[in-house]
Amino acid sequence: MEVRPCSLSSTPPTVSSRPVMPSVPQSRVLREQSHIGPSVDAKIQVRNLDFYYGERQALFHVMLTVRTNSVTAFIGPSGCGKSTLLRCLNRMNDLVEGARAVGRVELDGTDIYDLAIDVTDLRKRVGMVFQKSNPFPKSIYDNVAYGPRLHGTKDTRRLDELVHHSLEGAGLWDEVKDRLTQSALGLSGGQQQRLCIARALAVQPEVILMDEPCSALDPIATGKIEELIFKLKHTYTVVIVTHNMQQAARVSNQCGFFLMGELVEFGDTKTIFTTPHDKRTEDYITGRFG
Amino acid sequence: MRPMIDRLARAVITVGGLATIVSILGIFFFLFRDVTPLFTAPSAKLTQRLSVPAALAAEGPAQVAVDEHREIAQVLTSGAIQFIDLASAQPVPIEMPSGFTARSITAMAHGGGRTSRYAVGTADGEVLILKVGTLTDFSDQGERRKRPHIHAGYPIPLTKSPIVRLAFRANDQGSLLALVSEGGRLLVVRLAADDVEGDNPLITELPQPNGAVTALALDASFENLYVGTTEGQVVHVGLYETEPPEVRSSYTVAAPSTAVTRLGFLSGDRSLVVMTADGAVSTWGLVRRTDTPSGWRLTHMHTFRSHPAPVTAFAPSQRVKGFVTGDAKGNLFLHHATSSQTLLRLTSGEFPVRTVAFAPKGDGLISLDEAGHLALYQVDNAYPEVTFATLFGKVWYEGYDEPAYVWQSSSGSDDFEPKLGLMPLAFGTLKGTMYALLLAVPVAILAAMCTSQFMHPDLRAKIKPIIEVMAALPTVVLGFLAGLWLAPLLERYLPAMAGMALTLPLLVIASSLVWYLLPPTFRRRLRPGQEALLLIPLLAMGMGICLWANSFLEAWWFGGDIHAWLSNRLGIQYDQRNALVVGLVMGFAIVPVIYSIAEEALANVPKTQIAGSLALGATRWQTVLHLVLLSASPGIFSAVMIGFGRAIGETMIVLMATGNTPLMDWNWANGFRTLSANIAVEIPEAPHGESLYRVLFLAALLLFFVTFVINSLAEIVRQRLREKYSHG
Repeated sequence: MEVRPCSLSSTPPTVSSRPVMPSVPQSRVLREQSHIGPSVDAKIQVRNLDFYYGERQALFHVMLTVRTNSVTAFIGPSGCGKSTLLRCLNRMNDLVEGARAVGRVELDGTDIYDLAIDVTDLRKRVGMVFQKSNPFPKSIYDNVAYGPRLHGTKDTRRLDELVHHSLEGAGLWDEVKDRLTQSALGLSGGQQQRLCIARALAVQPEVILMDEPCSALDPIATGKIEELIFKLKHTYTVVIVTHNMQQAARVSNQCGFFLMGELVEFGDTKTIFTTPHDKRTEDYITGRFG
Repeated sequence: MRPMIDRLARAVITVGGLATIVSILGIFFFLFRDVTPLFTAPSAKLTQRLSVPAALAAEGPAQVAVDEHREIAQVLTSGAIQFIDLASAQPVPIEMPSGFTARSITAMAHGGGRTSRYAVGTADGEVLILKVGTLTDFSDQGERRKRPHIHAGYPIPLTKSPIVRLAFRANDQGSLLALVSEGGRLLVVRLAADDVEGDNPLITELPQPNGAVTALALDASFENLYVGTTEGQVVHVGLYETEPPEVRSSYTVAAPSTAVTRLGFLSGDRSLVVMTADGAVSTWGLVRRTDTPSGWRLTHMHTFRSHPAPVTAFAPSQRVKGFVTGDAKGNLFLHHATSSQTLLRLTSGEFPVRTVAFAPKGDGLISLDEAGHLALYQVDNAYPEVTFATLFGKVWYEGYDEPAYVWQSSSGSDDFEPKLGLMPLAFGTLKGTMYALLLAVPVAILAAMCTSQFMHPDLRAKIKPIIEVMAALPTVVLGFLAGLWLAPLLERYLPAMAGMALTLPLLVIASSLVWYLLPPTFRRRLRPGQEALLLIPLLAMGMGICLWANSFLEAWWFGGDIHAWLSNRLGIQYDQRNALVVGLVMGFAIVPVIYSIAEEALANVPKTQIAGSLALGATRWQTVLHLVLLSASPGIFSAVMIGFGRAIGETMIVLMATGNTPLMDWNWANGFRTLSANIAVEIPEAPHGESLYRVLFLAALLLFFVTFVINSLAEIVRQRLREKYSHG
């Protein structure tokens, strides 16, 4: 596991060297934690979600609540289903042939898998940033303006404003303001990823999903993105999937640990990293496997 | 072992690549070699110059000629008729007809074309018809022998005073003469073919024109007489057997009081060459004009380089529309009428040219000057009718009302002039390509979009190879089907086609409206893009109904006869084999080419980009239109260009389904002829080394060049696009 020096100004929860063993049976803990009733600050509620890729089940009875204006991190080893869950939250898994979700995912109390839901509306509200930056082969400006234009913003003043605002929100404005008309493909890896964040911000979503956004970036670029995530949570609800435990510890408020398609443990990041209830969580966090 | 395999592979690839380049260059040079002679400048050289024997030195009218091997020259003057063996420069002994030597010759005229007949007029007002020529035969040993001969007819008394000018034409109906006697009387004389002794000449006197008559020209159809005067005018006289000759109109062809010195016809006797005292040379033709009572007007067609002195001699080439003129300062100019150019300028000496003639094959010239010098030139001028201007520009051909782009390489008559304008063919090529692309590009790209972006992968894996197999159909089969099956079918079901063109788009619009009125929960049960499948039975039904209602539609919309309706209402003449048929079938042939490459390009757009767009709330369609097409644009561009290249060189389909009419008209309802089909049609009949043969090679070179340029440009543009939109 990669360990990076922490370069952030704010103090993230520190990882205790020796987590306390859970005293309650795991299933009970889960039920208690995920059965937070519909409260004011619950943005997304995943209720008993099973997910299948064809015959293969990728998620088993996942239950959790994502709180408004907070950062929720999903951690776990490769193939544990954390990315699958993330993609369930804006139905990106619809694109996969034979994929099927059973259960409920509620955004502000409405099931997003209901047939009455327009998936494009959903994705407008729940934006996404991918593992590998994927700028379009267009100019920087057109990349950011892509979403608003599709959703009907034609006024150039309004578009200029949105682009400016989004790039500033993604901390990229000062670096690119003089070359907005140049191709986005000419940016560095970290800049490209921040451009993708700006692009997601430009459609003014409520939730931003981030699928290992820093895995392809160097430490400095990673630091900038983490800083950005910190800022973003004041306006947006952020859900992030990460391989990097330190990152989860630094940036998230809640944290879920996945293993083999199961949500092993979900709770406050501080708790998970200092006093995990489950032995498997502890093993993972202390680097005994994964 | 491995380095060896590497080296071997490198060697094989290098050899293969070089061989390709070399063979392409080889094709290019092969074509180029056969084309270059077309554009070599004409040349001529003086091969012989001799003084004629004293017997010939008499003043007055004269005629010269040379045989096809340029071995024996014949000279007719008022003094004598002599044959001169050019190799030895000695006269060939021959007996003179007594009728000739006994008379004082005052005028002479050649019968035109390849004939050996001459008419001579005498001081006594008689006309004598002579046959003077050289026959070639072969001895038993295969030796070539030349036999000069002279045959004189009976003298025919026509007037009392000396004949000063004479024009003469002979054909199988008999002979026609026009003459001017010393008093200025203008007579037209017709002699029947069976009137050997000239007992019953039909003589008509014409009114005298303004000014003295200086030149006469008769055409071989016996219908037109042109009279040139000292006042710079040409009078057109219509001659018909059934009616008395009639002065049609008079035209001013030169500056006032500049005399017309000579009049003559080009080979074929249609274009009149007018030569004047100020050295001007121009050709004129009868052109249909509604503003004249007769419906015809003698119209100025081409102007040539002027002589520095009055024009004194003229001779037409017997092979092409070329002619030679000589002036009073001894210059000979060689012109080509149709291409409007003066090819060569020869100076035979200081003395005025008395008379001039072409060798029968057009490869030599013989001239006689006032000082009695006979000059023989060898002329190298094989392709006078082919210039860049005649190949690619509008040309005013004989018998046409105006300059035009024409391709017509052969005809039944001997004096036909091949019209080798490449523009109608280049136009046809473009037209066929455009119609094919008009069908193929949308169909192929939409199909590629459908299979790569919307279709279930299993279905895609089946459909893609099926479309690609279509490319394996031999085009000759497609052409055959197009010409013999589709063209008649389309002609029959034209009203149904019109019906489909109208109803199918309406049906699509209506059904999509219905689709969007359905509740969203119902619509979302289908995969995006799958709803299009619902259209298939609907469209099939629409087409079926249109076909079934064919005759009803024809009666209802087109008054019972769509062909009449098209020609009356829209002015469209419907040909069975037309651009629509070609567009459909050639489009069908190039759909797989475009589809295959475009599909590949669309399918290769990174999934991460598509996901990025969808995650922003774009629909599948928005993603395809705003992102996928842009990302795949280099590949789609290549696809279209390769389709274009394929269509431009396509031969069999256009050969069999266009009717091969070299028209220049964008209309969908008539045919065309392409460069490629033209080569296929005409090369078997083109005489090796002649203009047509070489022009066909030029057409091939042109195709080669265009394809080369298009492919190179396409590659450059594709590289540029790829740099811009390369997948990150």
